[in-house]
Amino acid sequence: MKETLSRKQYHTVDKVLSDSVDRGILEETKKKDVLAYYEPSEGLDFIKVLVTIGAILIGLGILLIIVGNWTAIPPLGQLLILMALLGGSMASSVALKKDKPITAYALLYLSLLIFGASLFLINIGFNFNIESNTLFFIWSLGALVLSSVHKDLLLFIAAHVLALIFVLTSFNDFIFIQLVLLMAAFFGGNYYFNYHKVITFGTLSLLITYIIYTLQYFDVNYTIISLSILVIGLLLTHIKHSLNFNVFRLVGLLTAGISAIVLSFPSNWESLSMINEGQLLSTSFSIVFVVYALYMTSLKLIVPLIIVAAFIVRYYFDTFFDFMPRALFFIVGGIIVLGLGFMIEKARQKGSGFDV
Amino acid sequence: MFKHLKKPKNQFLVSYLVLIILIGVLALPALTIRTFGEEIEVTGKAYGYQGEGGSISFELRIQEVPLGDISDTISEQIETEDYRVRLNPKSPYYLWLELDEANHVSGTYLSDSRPGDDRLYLEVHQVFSNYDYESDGPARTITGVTVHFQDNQTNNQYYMSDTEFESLNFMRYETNNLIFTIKIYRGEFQVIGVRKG
Repeated sequence: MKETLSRKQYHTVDKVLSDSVDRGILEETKKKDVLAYYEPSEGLDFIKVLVTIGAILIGLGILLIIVGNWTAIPPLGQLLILMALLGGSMASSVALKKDKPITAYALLYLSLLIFGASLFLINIGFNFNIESNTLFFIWSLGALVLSSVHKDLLLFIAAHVLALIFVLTSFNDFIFIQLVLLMAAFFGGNYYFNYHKVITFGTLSLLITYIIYTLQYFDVNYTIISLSILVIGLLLTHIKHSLNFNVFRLVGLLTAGISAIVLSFPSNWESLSMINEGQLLSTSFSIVFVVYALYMTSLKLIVPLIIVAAFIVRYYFDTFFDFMPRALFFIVGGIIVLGLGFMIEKARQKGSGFDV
Repeated sequence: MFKHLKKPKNQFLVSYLVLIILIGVLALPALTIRTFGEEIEVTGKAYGYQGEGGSISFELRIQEVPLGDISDTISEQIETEDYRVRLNPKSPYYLWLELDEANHVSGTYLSDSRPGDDRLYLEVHQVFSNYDYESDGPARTITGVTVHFQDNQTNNQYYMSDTEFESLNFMRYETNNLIFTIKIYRGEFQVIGVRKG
């Protein structure tokens, strides 16, 4: 069976082999033999993007027409319209699945959009007065159902995004039962989708958001929260295992880096009752963390380099903004940022051996 | 069981059914209280007053029984009408504000039917609430107030609703020719103001 490559990848392989034939390294027949194992994709990705955008635009247009006249429609009519739109979109998706699979998936995404809009519109139409975070929770459950039944990765990622909005729109609400249910579903989904890297990244990010929410709910001091997240980030970075370790390390480094920048501000340390003067502590902490990030950079990792760059920019702004002439401040700042960008770009270039 | 889910038709049926159930779960608490809720008695007064800059303002108050101690921050109040009504959660009441040519409140009317014309009206209804903050017991309180208005000039319909009683809310909404101001207090509510813009 032939392996499908993107058009760009296929042309690159073709070009490399042709060059080898021209240089006499490879025979023409060998080139054909190698190429026989591959085939270029038929530009399906482009079509997928196109039909998805089309479906979403149509959905948005229809929903806008409905929303514009929403209060004029009797409640039962509102319900029937939404149910019919949802059912129609999902039925069309099923009907087209065999012959036009890409369009079918686009209609499935449209169904999720209609489902979410239905939740909000029914809430308004029937005066249910349900908080928006609950609506996002149910929307996320809907995305989980659709993604698991139809085994679609994008829908599962959408469920993560909706779950994230659910947490961000919950203000000190007791949502822990929902959080446990969602996390169980997301961890199960990782197994279901064969530990796809994007999903592992999303689930880990969500888990860290949940931990922050839980600590905030119990009124834990935000400096303690930052320290806790820093420790979690370091654990994710350094505990070795074979399950998408690169993704764990990426999330760990990003988490630790963001926490470290928060902890580089003296006022955050001073919020702890036993600390009166945070300047020395924050500066010492920053030095230690930057040394650590430089050590991690020496292991050919890009994210620590970005963290070091962020520290440099943060201290430059904090130190020089007040007394340097503005023009000089921005010119020097620009040079620093450009220089850091150059270093990161150089590290990213192929052959440098750097990894995220 | 999962073998059956491989058929597209079954996939559609299962996912559609689950999504409909999810929407049903959303509606269940409110529908329960509307179906099995008890009547409560409500009294109130409607006021009109002359606000700053000569603009005409209207204020409507609805208080629960027993009447709470509502702090009065508005001067020059003119009482226009008393009313008393039993609110039935199964059928919302509509309180109309009748405006005269100068946009004064010339009367308030209660009806169990939604006004068919373009007059300003309030819809008062009882919805689900976890507990009554006053008695620290099960809720038997008005927790929903909705303001409907149809703009005569543009024929647009406007709609507002708020039931957040945790803290003082202040909502402001502008139409072409009227400004609504709504304040809702936790538990013992509830001041609703409508001001000529």
